[in-house]
Amino acid sequence: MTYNVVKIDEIEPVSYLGSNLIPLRYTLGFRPAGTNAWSADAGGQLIPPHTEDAGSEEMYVVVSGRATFTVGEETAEAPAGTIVFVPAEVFRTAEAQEDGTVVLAVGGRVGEPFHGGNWDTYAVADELRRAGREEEGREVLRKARAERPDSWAMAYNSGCWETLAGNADAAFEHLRRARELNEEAVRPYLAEDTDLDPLRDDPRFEELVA
Amino acid sequence: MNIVHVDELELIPVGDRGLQWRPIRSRFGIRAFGTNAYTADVGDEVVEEHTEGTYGHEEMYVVVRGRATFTLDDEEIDAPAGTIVHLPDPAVRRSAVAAEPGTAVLAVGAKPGEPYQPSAWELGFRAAQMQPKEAVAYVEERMGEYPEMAATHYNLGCFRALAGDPDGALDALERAAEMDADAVRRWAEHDSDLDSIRDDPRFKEAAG
Repeated sequence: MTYNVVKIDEIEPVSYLGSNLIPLRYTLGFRPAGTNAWSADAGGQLIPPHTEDAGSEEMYVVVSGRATFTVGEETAEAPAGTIVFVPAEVFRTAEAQEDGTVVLAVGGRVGEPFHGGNWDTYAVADELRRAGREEEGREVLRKARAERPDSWAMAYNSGCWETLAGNADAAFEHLRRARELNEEAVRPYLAEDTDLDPLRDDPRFEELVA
Repeated sequence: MNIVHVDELELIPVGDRGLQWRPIRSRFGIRAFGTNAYTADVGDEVVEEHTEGTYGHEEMYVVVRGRATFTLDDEEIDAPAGTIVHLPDPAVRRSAVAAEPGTAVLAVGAKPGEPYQPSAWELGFRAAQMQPKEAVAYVEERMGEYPEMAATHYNLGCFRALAGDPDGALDALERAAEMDADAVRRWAEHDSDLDSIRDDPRFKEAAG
């Protein structure tokens, strides 16, 4: 197919950090930038509260409804058609003021090519796992790893996912691979990530963090 | 807060089919990806007919308000608000016309696998609204902020020709032709901006 046409409200949302993520980038296979949407009814959380790393730029566009944005210390009303740009290292979140509010989010890093999303792929796979569609969720991650075999984050997320699915053997395999790919990046997560708690008493975990 | 409503964005008319460019990227100084909005009245162009052959961009269009009729190669797509049209292939010829009053379309794009660089057409679209002398000064001053492209030199050549600077125009056309001779020949064939230098032997060499 040379093009894709979708309606935002026809894409199945997935839960992510207390928000409803509409996984646009994952659904379309969009490659230029991190591009997703968030939906909520009045009073609901649209954008999970967070801060992006140095070098990241993000733009939000209210596609329908009305939102309240908090950026840094400021708060602003944002009816449909509003565009909010948030530079790196600035806190941001948004809440819906009307039912059916949808916000598009586009992000990328200055001077770097965009390399697919790890967190949004994980969100899709995790939703499938929680819905009891484990094989489909595992397949989402398998494909993502095949596309980016050098991604420590994808390997690490696969380890978390298998831990939550109760498969310690597979989890250790992914986590070891993640460590091979980027030990420095993985170490702090191994130390603190509560997703991995079920593995911590396993002798293989000691080996992993050694 | 860096916040703006699409109707408050600067409005720059482009071409002769009613397209209204609403610059977003340059408004906020975004450097990580390309993004702009376009608005149009019913029957007017809300996405300019083009391919992404020059820039190799993969694009996504989001109908934020109203309704647009997209034409993708030979296929027509009805796109009410909330529709996303995703074009991974730069070669697909794309355009859209507004089907409801106040239609607004957001575009997001970049070349996959490469760091984003601003597209030089931003310069040409803005300069086309200026008097030729002003356009020449504007392009000369800003062209260093964009990757060097044949189209930028070509546009500069057009503005210089209109501003009564044939030698400067020919210099710019020659530079454009060094970068992409075929494109320059194609662009120049029916471009009345260049009529004042069309008979010059240097023009025939570079673009004839």
